[in-house]
Amino acid sequence: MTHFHFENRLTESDRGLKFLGRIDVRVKMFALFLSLLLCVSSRRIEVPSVFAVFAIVMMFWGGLSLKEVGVQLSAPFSVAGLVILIQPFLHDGEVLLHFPLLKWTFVATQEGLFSGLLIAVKVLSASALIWNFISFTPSRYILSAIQWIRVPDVILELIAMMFRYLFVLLETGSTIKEAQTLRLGYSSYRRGLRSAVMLIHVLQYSFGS
Amino acid sequence: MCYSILLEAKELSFRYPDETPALNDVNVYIKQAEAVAILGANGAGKTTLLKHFVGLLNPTRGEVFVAGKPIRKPYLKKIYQQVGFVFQNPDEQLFAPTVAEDVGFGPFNLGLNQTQVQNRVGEALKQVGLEDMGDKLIHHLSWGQKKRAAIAGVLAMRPKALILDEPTAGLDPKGADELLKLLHRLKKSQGLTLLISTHEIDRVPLYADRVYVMRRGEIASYGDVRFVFSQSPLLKECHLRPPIISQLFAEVFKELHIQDKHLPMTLHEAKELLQQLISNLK
Ligand SMILES: Nc1ncnc2c1ncn2[C@@H]1O[C@H](COP(=O)(O)OP(=O)(O)OP(=O)(O)O)[C@@H](O)[C@H]1O
Ligand SMILES: [Mg+2]
Repeated sequence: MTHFHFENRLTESDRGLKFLGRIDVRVKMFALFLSLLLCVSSRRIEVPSVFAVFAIVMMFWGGLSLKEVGVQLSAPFSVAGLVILIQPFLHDGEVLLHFPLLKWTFVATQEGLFSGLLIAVKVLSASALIWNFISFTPSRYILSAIQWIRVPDVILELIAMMFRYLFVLLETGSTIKEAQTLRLGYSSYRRGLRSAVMLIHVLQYSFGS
Repeated sequence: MCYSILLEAKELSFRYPDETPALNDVNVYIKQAEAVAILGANGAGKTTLLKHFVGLLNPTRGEVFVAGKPIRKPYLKKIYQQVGFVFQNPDEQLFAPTVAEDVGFGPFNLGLNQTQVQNRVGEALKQVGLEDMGDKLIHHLSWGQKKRAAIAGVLAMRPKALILDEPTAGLDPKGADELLKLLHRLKKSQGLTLLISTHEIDRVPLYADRVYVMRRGEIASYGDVRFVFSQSPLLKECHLRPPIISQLFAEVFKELHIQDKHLPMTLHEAKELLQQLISNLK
Protein backbone atom coordinates (compact mmCIF):
# COMPACT_ATOMS: atom_id res chain seq x y z
CA MET A 1 0.00 0.00 0.00
CA THR A 2 2.97 2.26 0.19
CA HIS A 3 2.97 2.95 -3.50
CA PHE A 4 -0.06 5.22 -3.09
CA HIS A 5 2.01 7.68 -1.16
CA PHE A 6 4.83 7.47 -3.60
CA GLU A 7 2.57 7.94 -6.57
CA ASN A 8 0.57 10.76 -5.06
CA ARG A 9 3.64 12.68 -4.17
CA LEU A 10 5.07 12.14 -7.59
CA THR A 11 2.06 13.13 -9.61
CA GLU A 12 0.23 15.61 -7.45
CA SER A 13 2.99 17.10 -5.46
CA ASP A 14 1.55 20.58 -5.89
CA ARG A 15 -0.40 19.74 -2.78
CA GLY A 16 1.20 20.10 0.58
CA LEU A 17 4.24 21.69 -0.93
CA LYS A 18 6.24 23.87 1.31
CA PHE A 19 9.16 25.99 0.50
CA LEU A 20 10.97 23.45 -1.68
CA GLY A 21 8.02 23.15 -4.01
CA ARG A 22 8.02 26.82 -4.90
CA ILE A 23 11.60 27.18 -6.01
CA ASP A 24 12.02 27.37 -9.78
CA VAL A 25 12.54 23.89 -11.18
CA ARG A 26 15.57 25.00 -13.18
CA VAL A 27 17.26 26.20 -10.01
CA LYS A 28 16.35 22.97 -8.27
CA MET A 29 17.66 20.88 -11.12
CA PHE A 30 20.93 22.77 -11.17
CA ALA A 31 21.27 22.42 -7.41
CA LEU A 32 20.53 18.73 -7.68
CA PHE A 33 23.22 18.11 -10.28
CA LEU A 34 25.71 20.17 -8.33
CA SER A 35 25.05 18.35 -5.06
CA LEU A 36 25.09 14.95 -6.76
CA LEU A 37 28.44 15.82 -8.30
CA LEU A 38 29.81 17.00 -4.96
CA CYS A 39 28.56 13.90 -3.16
CA VAL A 40 29.74 11.36 -5.65
CA SER A 41 33.18 12.87 -6.29
CA SER A 42 33.97 13.64 -2.67
CA ARG A 43 36.93 11.86 -1.07
CA ARG A 44 35.88 12.97 2.41
CA ILE A 45 33.02 11.35 4.18
CA GLU A 46 31.66 14.59 5.67
CA VAL A 47 30.37 16.02 2.37
CA PRO A 48 27.94 13.24 1.38
CA SER A 49 27.01 12.81 5.07
CA VAL A 50 25.84 16.40 5.31
CA PHE A 51 23.82 16.04 2.11
CA ALA A 52 22.33 12.73 3.26
CA VAL A 53 21.22 14.21 6.58
CA PHE A 54 19.83 17.27 4.80
CA ALA A 55 17.89 15.18 2.27
CA ILE A 56 16.44 12.85 4.90
CA VAL A 57 15.42 15.76 7.11
CA MET A 58 13.68 17.25 4.05
CA MET A 59 11.76 14.00 3.59
CA PHE A 60 10.41 14.21 7.14
CA TRP A 61 9.68 17.89 6.71
CA GLY A 62 7.73 17.10 3.55
CA GLY A 63 5.37 15.07 5.68
CA LEU A 64 6.61 11.48 5.43
CA SER A 65 6.41 9.27 8.49
CA LEU A 66 9.40 7.35 9.81
CA LYS A 67 8.01 4.18 8.27
CA GLU A 68 7.52 5.80 4.87
CA VAL A 69 11.04 7.20 4.83
CA GLY A 70 12.24 3.72 5.75
CA VAL A 71 10.31 2.16 2.90
CA GLN A 72 11.46 4.72 0.34
CA LEU A 73 15.07 4.38 1.36
CA SER A 74 15.07 0.64 2.00
CA ALA A 75 16.78 -0.19 -1.29
CA PRO A 76 19.68 2.28 -0.90
CA PHE A 77 19.98 1.31 2.77
CA SER A 78 20.34 -2.36 1.82
CA VAL A 79 22.94 -1.54 -0.81
CA ALA A 80 24.80 0.64 1.68
CA GLY A 81 24.73 -2.12 4.29
CA LEU A 82 26.06 -4.65 1.83
CA VAL A 83 28.87 -2.34 0.76
CA ILE A 84 29.89 -1.73 4.37
CA LEU A 85 29.98 -5.49 4.94
CA ILE A 86 32.01 -6.36 1.85
CA GLN A 87 34.38 -3.45 1.35
CA PRO A 88 36.54 -3.98 4.48
CA PHE A 89 37.73 -7.28 3.02
CA LEU A 90 38.73 -5.87 -0.34
CA HIS A 91 41.46 -3.43 0.71
CA ASP A 92 44.97 -3.65 2.07
CA GLY A 93 45.92 -1.72 5.16
CA GLU A 94 45.77 -1.76 8.93
CA VAL A 95 44.16 -5.01 10.03
CA LEU A 96 40.98 -4.64 12.07
CA LEU A 97 40.12 -8.31 12.47
CA HIS A 98 40.75 -11.58 10.72
CA PHE A 99 39.07 -14.95 10.91
CA PRO A 100 39.32 -18.26 9.08
CA LEU A 101 36.30 -19.59 7.25
CA LEU A 102 36.43 -22.90 5.37
CA LYS A 103 39.65 -22.77 3.33
CA TRP A 104 40.18 -19.03 3.45
CA THR A 105 41.23 -16.45 5.95
CA PHE A 106 39.27 -13.21 5.83
CA VAL A 107 41.04 -9.99 6.69
CA ALA A 108 39.17 -6.77 7.33
CA THR A 109 41.12 -3.53 7.16
CA GLN A 110 40.52 -0.04 8.46
CA GLU A 111 41.02 1.45 5.00
CA GLY A 112 38.47 -0.97 3.62
CA LEU A 113 35.95 -0.05 6.28
CA PHE A 114 36.42 3.63 5.56
CA SER A 115 36.01 3.07 1.84
CA GLY A 116 32.85 1.06 2.52
CA LEU A 117 31.40 3.78 4.71
CA LEU A 118 32.21 6.43 2.11
CA ILE A 119 30.50 4.52 -0.71
CA ALA A 120 27.52 3.75 1.50
CA VAL A 121 27.01 7.37 2.45
CA LYS A 122 27.36 8.40 -1.19
CA VAL A 123 24.68 5.92 -2.24
CA LEU A 124 22.37 7.10 0.53
CA SER A 125 22.84 10.80 -0.10
CA ALA A 126 22.40 10.49 -3.86
CA SER A 127 19.21 8.41 -3.53
CA ALA A 128 17.71 10.70 -0.92
CA LEU A 129 18.54 13.81 -2.96
CA ILE A 130 17.00 12.40 -6.13
CA TRP A 131 14.00 11.22 -4.18
CA ASN A 132 13.48 14.71 -2.81
CA PHE A 133 13.73 16.30 -6.22
CA ILE A 134 11.28 13.93 -7.86
CA SER A 135 8.73 13.95 -5.10
CA PHE A 136 8.60 17.67 -4.53
CA THR A 137 8.46 18.49 -8.22
CA PRO A 138 5.44 17.55 -10.35
CA SER A 139 6.57 15.71 -13.45
CA ARG A 140 5.22 18.34 -15.84
CA TYR A 141 7.50 20.96 -14.25
CA ILE A 142 10.45 18.65 -14.63
CA LEU A 143 9.52 18.20 -18.26
CA SER A 144 9.20 21.93 -18.85
CA ALA A 145 12.57 22.49 -17.23
CA ILE A 146 14.11 19.92 -19.52
CA GLN A 147 12.44 21.68 -22.42
CA TRP A 148 13.96 24.95 -21.30
CA ILE A 149 17.49 23.60 -21.65
CA ARG A 150 16.58 22.91 -25.29
CA VAL A 151 16.42 19.18 -25.31
CA PRO A 152 14.94 18.01 -28.65
CA ASP A 153 11.22 17.27 -28.57
CA VAL A 154 11.72 13.62 -29.42
CA ILE A 155 13.76 13.05 -26.31
CA LEU A 156 11.29 15.06 -24.28
CA GLU A 157 8.45 12.89 -25.47
CA LEU A 158 10.49 9.82 -24.66
CA ILE A 159 11.03 11.07 -21.13
CA ALA A 160 7.33 11.85 -20.75
CA MET A 161 6.53 8.35 -21.89
CA MET A 162 9.02 6.90 -19.44
CA PHE A 163 7.28 8.77 -16.63
CA ARG A 164 3.98 7.34 -17.75
CA TYR A 165 5.38 3.84 -17.94
CA LEU A 166 7.03 4.14 -14.58
CA PHE A 167 3.60 4.55 -13.01
CA VAL A 168 2.02 1.75 -14.98
CA LEU A 169 4.94 -0.40 -13.93
CA LEU A 170 4.58 0.59 -10.28
CA GLU A 171 0.84 0.01 -10.38
CA THR A 172 1.07 -3.39 -12.08
CA GLY A 173 3.99 -4.41 -9.93
CA SER A 174 2.22 -3.61 -6.71
CA THR A 175 -0.96 -5.44 -7.75
CA ILE A 176 1.02 -8.54 -8.67
CA LYS A 177 2.81 -8.28 -5.36
CA GLU A 178 -0.58 -8.17 -3.64
CA ALA A 179 -1.66 -11.27 -5.57
CA GLN A 180 1.52 -13.03 -4.47
CA THR A 181 1.02 -11.99 -0.86
CA LEU A 182 -2.50 -13.41 -0.84
CA ARG A 183 -1.10 -16.74 -1.97
CA LEU A 184 1.41 -16.67 0.89
CA GLY A 185 4.26 -15.58 -1.37
CA TYR A 186 5.82 -13.48 1.37
CA SER A 187 5.09 -15.68 4.36
CA SER A 188 8.75 -16.37 4.96
CA TYR A 189 12.02 -14.77 3.96
CA ARG A 190 12.88 -17.50 1.47
CA ARG A 191 9.46 -17.50 -0.15
CA GLY A 192 9.59 -13.71 -0.31
CA LEU A 193 12.86 -13.85 -2.21
CA ARG A 194 11.45 -16.38 -4.67
CA SER A 195 8.29 -14.32 -5.16
CA ALA A 196 10.26 -11.13 -5.69
CA VAL A 197 12.36 -12.78 -8.39
CA MET A 198 9.20 -13.97 -10.15
CA LEU A 199 7.74 -10.46 -9.87
CA ILE A 200 10.78 -8.87 -11.47
CA HIS A 201 10.72 -11.46 -14.25
CA VAL A 202 7.09 -10.90 -15.14
CA LEU A 203 7.50 -7.11 -15.11
CA GLN A 204 10.53 -7.41 -17.35
CA TYR A 205 8.55 -9.58 -19.68
CA SER A 206 5.49 -7.34 -19.91
CA PHE A 207 7.42 -4.12 -20.35
CA GLY A 208 10.61 -5.30 -21.92
CA SER A 209 9.20 -6.38 -25.23
CA MET B 1 -20.15 -14.98 18.07
CA CYS B 2 -21.95 -16.84 15.34
CA TYR B 3 -19.46 -18.78 13.23
CA SER B 4 -21.79 -19.55 10.38
CA ILE B 5 -20.99 -16.00 9.29
CA LEU B 6 -17.73 -16.32 7.39
CA LEU B 7 -17.09 -12.79 6.17
CA GLU B 8 -18.26 -9.68 7.93
CA ALA B 9 -17.68 -5.94 7.74
CA LYS B 10 -18.90 -3.83 10.64
CA GLU B 11 -19.38 -0.07 10.36
CA LEU B 12 -16.60 -0.05 7.81
CA SER B 13 -15.43 3.30 6.45
CA PHE B 14 -12.45 3.85 4.23
CA ARG B 15 -10.65 6.81 2.71
CA TYR B 16 -7.87 6.45 0.18
CA PRO B 17 -4.66 8.31 1.02
CA ASP B 18 -5.73 11.06 -1.38
CA GLU B 19 -8.80 11.58 0.83
CA THR B 20 -11.31 9.98 -1.58
CA PRO B 21 -14.05 8.71 0.73
CA ALA B 22 -14.61 5.29 -0.86
CA LEU B 23 -16.64 3.50 1.85
CA ASN B 24 -18.96 4.97 4.42
CA ASP B 25 -20.37 2.97 7.33
CA VAL B 26 -20.74 -0.27 5.43
CA ASN B 27 -22.23 -3.33 7.14
CA VAL B 28 -22.02 -6.59 5.23
CA TYR B 29 -22.10 -10.24 6.23
CA ILE B 30 -21.74 -13.41 4.18
CA LYS B 31 -22.69 -16.76 5.63
CA GLN B 32 -20.83 -19.97 5.03
CA ALA B 33 -21.71 -21.63 1.69
CA GLU B 34 -23.68 -18.58 0.61
CA ALA B 35 -23.32 -16.83 -2.74
CA VAL B 36 -23.59 -13.07 -2.49
CA ALA B 37 -23.46 -10.59 -5.37
CA ILE B 38 -22.38 -6.98 -4.99
CA LEU B 39 -23.88 -4.58 -7.48
CA GLY B 40 -23.09 -0.93 -8.00
CA ALA B 41 -22.22 1.62 -10.65
CA ASN B 42 -18.60 2.31 -11.61
CA GLY B 43 -16.82 3.84 -8.67
CA ALA B 44 -19.47 2.78 -6.14
CA GLY B 45 -16.81 1.10 -4.00
CA LYS B 46 -17.17 -2.60 -4.84
CA THR B 47 -13.49 -3.33 -5.39
CA THR B 48 -12.56 -1.26 -2.35
CA LEU B 49 -14.96 -3.27 -0.19
CA LEU B 50 -13.77 -6.63 -1.53
CA LYS B 51 -10.13 -5.78 -0.88
CA HIS B 52 -10.91 -5.25 2.80
CA PHE B 53 -11.90 -8.88 3.23
CA VAL B 54 -8.34 -10.03 2.58
CA GLY B 55 -6.57 -7.17 4.28
CA LEU B 56 -5.32 -5.54 1.06
CA LEU B 57 -6.82 -2.33 2.45
CA ASN B 58 -7.17 -1.45 6.10
CA PRO B 59 -10.33 0.23 7.41
CA THR B 60 -10.16 3.88 8.30
CA ARG B 61 -12.97 3.11 10.74
CA GLY B 62 -14.81 -0.07 11.68
CA GLU B 63 -13.57 -3.62 11.46
CA VAL B 64 -13.59 -6.61 9.14
CA PHE B 65 -13.82 -10.22 10.32
CA VAL B 66 -13.08 -13.58 8.72
CA ALA B 67 -14.56 -16.55 10.57
CA GLY B 68 -14.95 -14.37 13.62
CA LYS B 69 -11.32 -13.23 13.65
CA PRO B 70 -10.46 -9.57 12.99
CA ILE B 71 -8.16 -8.98 10.04
CA ARG B 72 -4.93 -8.27 11.90
CA LYS B 73 -1.36 -9.28 11.44
CA PRO B 74 -1.30 -12.46 13.56
CA TYR B 75 -4.28 -13.90 11.68
CA LEU B 76 -3.27 -12.85 8.17
CA LYS B 77 -1.64 -16.12 7.14
CA LYS B 78 -4.69 -18.09 8.23
CA ILE B 79 -6.95 -15.64 6.45
CA TYR B 80 -4.97 -15.90 3.20
CA GLN B 81 -5.56 -19.65 3.36
CA GLN B 82 -9.26 -19.34 4.05
CA VAL B 83 -10.18 -16.60 1.62
CA GLY B 84 -9.12 -16.63 -2.02
CA PHE B 85 -9.19 -13.41 -4.00
CA VAL B 86 -9.50 -13.27 -7.79
CA PHE B 87 -8.54 -9.90 -9.26
CA GLN B 88 -10.48 -8.38 -12.10
CA ASN B 89 -7.50 -8.40 -14.41
CA PRO B 90 -5.83 -11.83 -14.67
CA ASP B 91 -2.67 -10.22 -16.06
CA GLU B 92 -2.15 -8.69 -12.64
CA GLN B 93 -2.59 -12.00 -10.90
CA LEU B 94 -0.54 -14.44 -12.96
CA PHE B 95 3.20 -14.11 -12.60
CA ALA B 96 4.82 -17.51 -13.22
CA PRO B 97 5.99 -18.55 -16.70
CA THR B 98 3.69 -21.56 -17.09
CA VAL B 99 0.16 -22.34 -16.00
CA ALA B 100 1.17 -25.23 -13.73
CA GLU B 101 3.87 -23.19 -12.02
CA ASP B 102 1.45 -20.41 -11.34
CA VAL B 103 -1.27 -22.68 -9.99
CA GLY B 104 1.31 -24.46 -7.85
CA PHE B 105 2.55 -21.21 -6.29
CA GLY B 106 0.04 -21.19 -3.42
CA PRO B 107 0.29 -24.90 -2.54
CA PHE B 108 4.08 -24.65 -2.63
CA ASN B 109 3.95 -21.77 -0.17
CA LEU B 110 1.65 -23.80 2.05
CA GLY B 111 4.65 -26.06 2.53
CA LEU B 112 3.31 -29.09 0.66
CA ASN B 113 5.75 -31.52 -0.93
CA GLN B 114 6.18 -31.87 -4.67
CA THR B 115 3.70 -34.73 -5.15
CA GLN B 116 1.08 -32.94 -3.10
CA VAL B 117 1.63 -29.74 -5.06
CA GLN B 118 1.26 -31.63 -8.34
CA ASN B 119 -1.95 -33.22 -7.13
CA ARG B 120 -3.37 -29.88 -6.11
CA VAL B 121 -2.40 -28.36 -9.45
CA GLY B 122 -3.98 -31.22 -11.40
CA GLU B 123 -7.14 -31.02 -9.35
CA ALA B 124 -7.50 -27.24 -9.66
CA LEU B 125 -6.83 -27.25 -13.41
CA LYS B 126 -9.43 -29.98 -13.85
CA GLN B 127 -11.97 -27.96 -11.89
CA VAL B 128 -11.61 -24.99 -14.21
CA GLY B 129 -11.38 -27.12 -17.35
CA LEU B 130 -7.73 -26.42 -18.16
CA GLU B 131 -6.44 -29.93 -17.49
CA ASP B 132 -4.36 -30.10 -20.70
CA MET B 133 -2.90 -26.63 -20.36
CA GLY B 134 -0.49 -27.08 -17.45
CA ASP B 135 2.62 -26.72 -19.58
CA LYS B 136 1.35 -23.77 -21.58
CA LEU B 137 3.04 -20.41 -21.27
CA ILE B 138 0.78 -17.96 -19.48
CA HIS B 139 1.22 -15.23 -22.08
CA HIS B 140 0.00 -17.58 -24.79
CA LEU B 141 -3.39 -18.04 -23.12
CA SER B 142 -6.54 -16.25 -24.21
CA TRP B 143 -8.20 -13.83 -21.81
CA GLY B 144 -10.81 -16.36 -20.73
CA GLN B 145 -8.18 -19.03 -20.18
CA LYS B 146 -6.10 -16.60 -18.14
CA LYS B 147 -9.12 -15.91 -16.01
CA ARG B 148 -9.60 -19.63 -15.39
CA ALA B 149 -5.93 -20.09 -14.63
CA ALA B 150 -6.13 -17.27 -12.09
CA ILE B 151 -9.11 -18.94 -10.44
CA ALA B 152 -7.33 -22.30 -10.45
CA GLY B 153 -4.37 -20.71 -8.67
CA VAL B 154 -6.66 -19.60 -5.89
CA LEU B 155 -8.68 -22.84 -5.76
CA ALA B 156 -5.46 -24.83 -5.39
CA MET B 157 -5.15 -23.39 -1.90
CA ARG B 158 -8.54 -24.94 -1.02
CA PRO B 159 -10.05 -21.79 0.43
CA LYS B 160 -13.37 -21.67 2.27
CA ALA B 161 -14.43 -18.55 0.46
CA LEU B 162 -13.76 -17.12 -2.95
CA ILE B 163 -13.96 -13.40 -3.61
CA LEU B 164 -14.17 -12.50 -7.26
CA ASP B 165 -13.99 -8.97 -8.65
CA GLU B 166 -16.06 -8.86 -11.84
CA PRO B 167 -15.21 -12.43 -12.83
CA THR B 168 -17.22 -12.42 -16.05
CA ALA B 169 -15.88 -9.12 -17.41
CA GLY B 170 -14.27 -9.69 -20.79
CA LEU B 171 -15.61 -13.23 -21.22
CA ASP B 172 -17.79 -14.31 -24.14
CA PRO B 173 -21.38 -15.32 -23.23
CA LYS B 174 -20.60 -19.00 -23.17
CA GLY B 175 -17.42 -18.44 -21.18
CA ALA B 176 -19.30 -16.36 -18.64
CA ASP B 177 -22.03 -19.00 -18.31
CA GLU B 178 -19.49 -21.76 -17.86
CA LEU B 179 -17.55 -19.83 -15.25
CA LEU B 180 -20.66 -19.13 -13.21
CA LYS B 181 -21.74 -22.76 -13.51
CA LEU B 182 -18.32 -23.82 -12.28
CA LEU B 183 -18.59 -21.52 -9.26
CA HIS B 184 -22.12 -22.72 -8.57
CA ARG B 185 -20.95 -26.32 -8.74
CA LEU B 186 -18.09 -25.67 -6.29
CA LYS B 187 -20.51 -24.01 -3.95
CA LYS B 188 -22.89 -26.96 -4.05
CA SER B 189 -20.27 -29.70 -3.87
CA GLN B 190 -17.74 -28.19 -1.46
CA GLY B 191 -19.74 -25.57 0.36
CA LEU B 192 -17.55 -22.82 -1.11
CA THR B 193 -18.65 -19.35 -0.04
CA LEU B 194 -18.83 -16.84 -2.90
CA LEU B 195 -18.64 -13.07 -2.88
CA ILE B 196 -18.87 -11.66 -6.38
CA SER B 197 -18.91 -8.08 -7.63
CA THR B 198 -20.50 -7.72 -11.02
CA HIS B 199 -22.21 -5.50 -13.58
CA GLU B 200 -23.98 -8.44 -15.20
CA ILE B 201 -27.37 -8.08 -13.61
CA ASP B 202 -29.17 -10.65 -15.77
CA ARG B 203 -26.95 -13.45 -14.52
CA VAL B 204 -27.18 -12.59 -10.84
CA PRO B 205 -30.38 -14.60 -10.12
CA LEU B 206 -28.70 -17.66 -11.59
CA TYR B 207 -26.19 -18.01 -8.79
CA ALA B 208 -26.74 -15.47 -6.01
CA ASP B 209 -28.60 -16.14 -2.78
CA ARG B 210 -28.42 -12.53 -1.68
CA VAL B 211 -27.49 -9.19 -3.18
CA TYR B 212 -25.93 -5.99 -1.82
CA VAL B 213 -26.40 -2.79 -3.77
CA MET B 214 -23.76 -0.11 -3.37
CA ARG B 215 -24.08 3.57 -4.08
CA ARG B 216 -21.28 6.08 -3.52
CA GLY B 217 -19.57 3.99 -0.88
CA GLU B 218 -22.72 3.06 1.00
CA ILE B 219 -25.01 0.04 1.06
CA ALA B 220 -28.20 1.31 -0.61
CA SER B 221 -30.11 -1.94 -0.27
CA TYR B 222 -29.62 -5.62 0.45
CA GLY B 223 -31.63 -8.79 0.76
CA ASP B 224 -32.59 -11.81 -1.27
CA VAL B 225 -32.49 -11.49 -5.01
CA ARG B 226 -36.24 -11.12 -5.51
CA PHE B 227 -36.54 -8.43 -2.86
CA VAL B 228 -33.67 -6.32 -4.14
CA PHE B 229 -34.76 -6.53 -7.76
CA SER B 230 -38.32 -5.52 -6.83
CA GLN B 231 -37.04 -2.03 -5.94
CA SER B 232 -36.95 -0.52 -9.41
CA PRO B 233 -36.86 3.17 -8.43
CA LEU B 234 -33.98 2.65 -6.00
CA LEU B 235 -32.08 0.56 -8.52
CA LYS B 236 -32.50 3.34 -11.04
CA GLU B 237 -31.07 5.84 -8.60
CA CYS B 238 -28.07 3.55 -8.26
CA HIS B 239 -27.66 3.42 -12.07
CA LEU B 240 -28.85 -0.19 -12.06
CA ARG B 241 -31.96 -2.07 -13.16
CA PRO B 242 -33.78 -5.36 -12.50
CA PRO B 243 -32.96 -8.27 -14.83
CA ILE B 244 -34.28 -7.56 -18.32
CA ILE B 245 -36.64 -10.54 -18.25
CA SER B 246 -38.31 -9.31 -15.08
CA GLN B 247 -38.60 -5.81 -16.55
CA LEU B 248 -40.38 -7.29 -19.55
CA PHE B 249 -42.81 -9.22 -17.37
CA ALA B 250 -43.40 -6.18 -15.16
CA GLU B 251 -44.62 -4.34 -18.29
CA VAL B 252 -46.75 -7.27 -19.38
CA PHE B 253 -48.28 -7.70 -15.92
CA LYS B 254 -49.13 -4.00 -15.87
CA GLU B 255 -50.86 -4.20 -19.26
CA LEU B 256 -52.82 -7.31 -18.29
CA HIS B 257 -53.52 -6.13 -14.74
CA ILE B 258 -51.91 -9.23 -13.26
CA GLN B 259 -51.04 -8.68 -9.62
CA ASP B 260 -50.95 -12.07 -7.97
CA LYS B 261 -47.84 -13.40 -9.69
CA HIS B 262 -44.14 -13.19 -8.82
CA LEU B 263 -41.99 -11.58 -11.47
CA PRO B 264 -39.65 -14.13 -13.03
CA MET B 265 -35.94 -13.46 -12.51
CA THR B 266 -34.46 -15.95 -14.96
CA LEU B 267 -35.29 -17.31 -18.42
CA HIS B 268 -36.20 -20.60 -16.82
CA GLU B 269 -38.70 -19.01 -14.43
CA ALA B 270 -40.12 -16.94 -17.27
CA LYS B 271 -40.69 -20.03 -19.36
CA GLU B 272 -42.55 -21.79 -16.57
CA LEU B 273 -44.64 -18.72 -15.90
CA LEU B 274 -45.53 -18.39 -19.59
CA GLN B 275 -46.57 -22.02 -19.78
CA GLN B 276 -48.74 -21.50 -16.72
CA LEU B 277 -50.34 -18.36 -18.13
CA ILE B 278 -51.05 -20.03 -21.48
CA SER B 279 -52.61 -23.09 -19.90
CA ASN B 280 -54.78 -20.75 -17.78
CA LEU B 281 -55.98 -19.04 -20.94
CA LYS B 282 -57.02 -22.29 -22.59
N1 LIG C 1 -5.98 3.93 -5.37
C1 LIG C 1 -6.95 4.82 -5.26
N2 LIG C 1 -6.69 6.07 -4.82
C2 LIG C 1 -7.67 6.98 -4.68
N3 LIG C 1 -8.96 6.76 -4.96
C3 LIG C 1 -9.30 5.54 -5.42
C4 LIG C 1 -8.32 4.50 -5.59
N4 LIG C 1 -8.95 3.41 -6.06
C5 LIG C 1 -10.25 3.72 -6.16
N5 LIG C 1 -10.47 5.01 -5.78
C6 LIG C 1 -11.76 5.71 -5.72
O1 LIG C 1 -12.61 5.04 -4.81
C7 LIG C 1 -13.93 4.98 -5.31
C8 LIG C 1 -14.40 3.55 -5.36
O2 LIG C 1 -13.62 2.84 -6.31
P1 LIG C 1 -13.78 1.29 -6.59
O3 LIG C 1 -12.68 0.89 -7.46
O4 LIG C 1 -13.95 0.57 -5.29
O5 LIG C 1 -15.16 1.24 -7.38
P2 LIG C 1 -15.88 0.01 -8.10
O6 LIG C 1 -17.26 -0.06 -7.53
O7 LIG C 1 -15.03 -1.19 -7.99
O8 LIG C 1 -15.96 0.51 -9.59
P3 LIG C 1 -15.87 -0.31 -10.97
O9 LIG C 1 -17.22 -0.87 -11.23
O10 LIG C 1 -15.52 0.73 -11.97
O11 LIG C 1 -14.80 -1.35 -10.81
C9 LIG C 1 -13.91 5.66 -6.67
O12 LIG C 1 -14.37 6.97 -6.48
C10 LIG C 1 -12.46 5.66 -7.06
O13 LIG C 1 -12.14 6.80 -7.82
MG1 LIG D 1 -13.99 -2.39 -9.38
